[in-house]
Amino acid sequence: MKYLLLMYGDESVWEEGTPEEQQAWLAAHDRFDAAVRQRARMLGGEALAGSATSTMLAPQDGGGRREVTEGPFAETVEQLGGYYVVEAADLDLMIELCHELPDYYRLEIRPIVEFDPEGP
Amino acid sequence: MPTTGDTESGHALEAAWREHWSRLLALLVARYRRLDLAEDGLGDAFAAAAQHWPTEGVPANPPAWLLTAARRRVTDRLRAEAVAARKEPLLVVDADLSHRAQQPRAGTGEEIPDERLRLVLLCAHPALSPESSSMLTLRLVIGLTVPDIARLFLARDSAVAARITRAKRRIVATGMPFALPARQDLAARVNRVADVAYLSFTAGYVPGPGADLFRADLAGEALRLLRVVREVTEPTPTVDLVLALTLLQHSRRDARVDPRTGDLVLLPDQDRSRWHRAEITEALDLLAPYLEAPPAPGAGGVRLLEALIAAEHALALTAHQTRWDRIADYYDQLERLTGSPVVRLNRAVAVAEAQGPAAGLALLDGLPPGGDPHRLPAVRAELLARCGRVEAAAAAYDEAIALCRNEVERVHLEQRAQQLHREGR
Repeated sequence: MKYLLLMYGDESVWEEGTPEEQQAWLAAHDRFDAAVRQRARMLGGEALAGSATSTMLAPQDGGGRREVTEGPFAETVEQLGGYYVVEAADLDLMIELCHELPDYYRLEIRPIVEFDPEGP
Repeated sequence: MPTTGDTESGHALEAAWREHWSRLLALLVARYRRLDLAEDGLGDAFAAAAQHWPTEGVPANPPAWLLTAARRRVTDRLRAEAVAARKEPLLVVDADLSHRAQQPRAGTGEEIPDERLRLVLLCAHPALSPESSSMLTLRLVIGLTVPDIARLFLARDSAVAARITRAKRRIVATGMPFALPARQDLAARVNRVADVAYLSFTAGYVPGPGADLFRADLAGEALRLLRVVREVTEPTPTVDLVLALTLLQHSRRDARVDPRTGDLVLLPDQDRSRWHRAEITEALDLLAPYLEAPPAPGAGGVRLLEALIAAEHALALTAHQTRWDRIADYYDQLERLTGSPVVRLNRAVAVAEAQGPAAGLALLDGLPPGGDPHRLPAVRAELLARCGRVEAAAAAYDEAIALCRNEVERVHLEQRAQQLHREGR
């Protein structure tokens, strides 16, 4: 199955981390990448620029062009910081692989719906 | 549950359902990787048995008959679906297990993990909520029907059916495997099964709103689940202790209600000859090793203390002989582990018995209410009455009666209040 792995965290953790801590977090991502390549398949993934760079397009009542506004919707401390797309045998393997990632993230695993090309 | 008459086939069907439901379902899931079809097919097989066995006689090998009937049914359904060219997401099954499920049962030799264990562990996956886990376990492992489960959880049939369907869909859609978890996760998962069983058990004993004081049948099903788990896994302290605890509490079921009036009978007034002695003995045997070597701190320690308290009550031949000092000491340890106001309340009761009502009352000061809202004023009323503070006791009884939502318990409180009134005059 294909899974989208979303990484949420407090953005200030990275910004305020010491160079050594940042090195350790990057090494954790490398370990995760290596573990995925060994036991599953890495289909993609990116780090995202800070939530301050986000632009929202909100739908308008009664249709019409969406309104463009600044910033994410929620004033939460935790923001989406990046994602991976992984193909793995099952949920338990995904959970196990996730243990490699830096521990300040909250992680969300979402299966990706695969449409049957021969289906209706 | 299949209906059973007082006939040979009825008994055979009942026995097959109790002993083989979970194993047969696990085999079908392993083979076809479809929770929905496996469950429907097995249900149909039992329905067919109920129809055929009374007239054709009980087959020599009931589980084999049921498995064959269920397989035929599932195959028919799969064929029909193939015609419709529908592609359902499959449950993730070890290739090895899927292969083995299609072979005749291998002889002894290498260790073969029981399919039932996989089924139990699947239902207890941490990515399911505890309530969903409980309902799914009762449905898939114990084989209760949706109306049975709805009755036990005091919920509507439609709500329970929706809940179970959602949980099954979630298992398939998220790719939860029908496989043993990694070794380091296995004990945690087995312990979750024990917690699920205990949740089901306490759902049977916590008096809900309405007329029934408790529902011993749900408690009995939870015990059966714990026995299945012990049968198919290496015993863990949590499973042993939860089983011991539930056996001790369950052994008192017949004495908890007055058979003539239906009234609640509190522990000191219970007819101890109506306790199930065999269950008490089994529980004490389970507990024995942990008295020598207590489990590591954590949930195991809490369960051990709870079981030790229940065991002290079980060991007292009369209420008078109860060793309240030891029970008060266990509650003291339990309160330090949990910080729970409910534990503090129970400790106050034990201390009142061991050292007198004033010592118990002192422990109630500043206690926030926890658990059932009427429990705290009810205990305070009882202890105040024993201290001879009649007016304060009467006020506390009024408070407890106003807060009590179980009819049997409320009748009991009203009787105590009237008794106090008569004695006070």
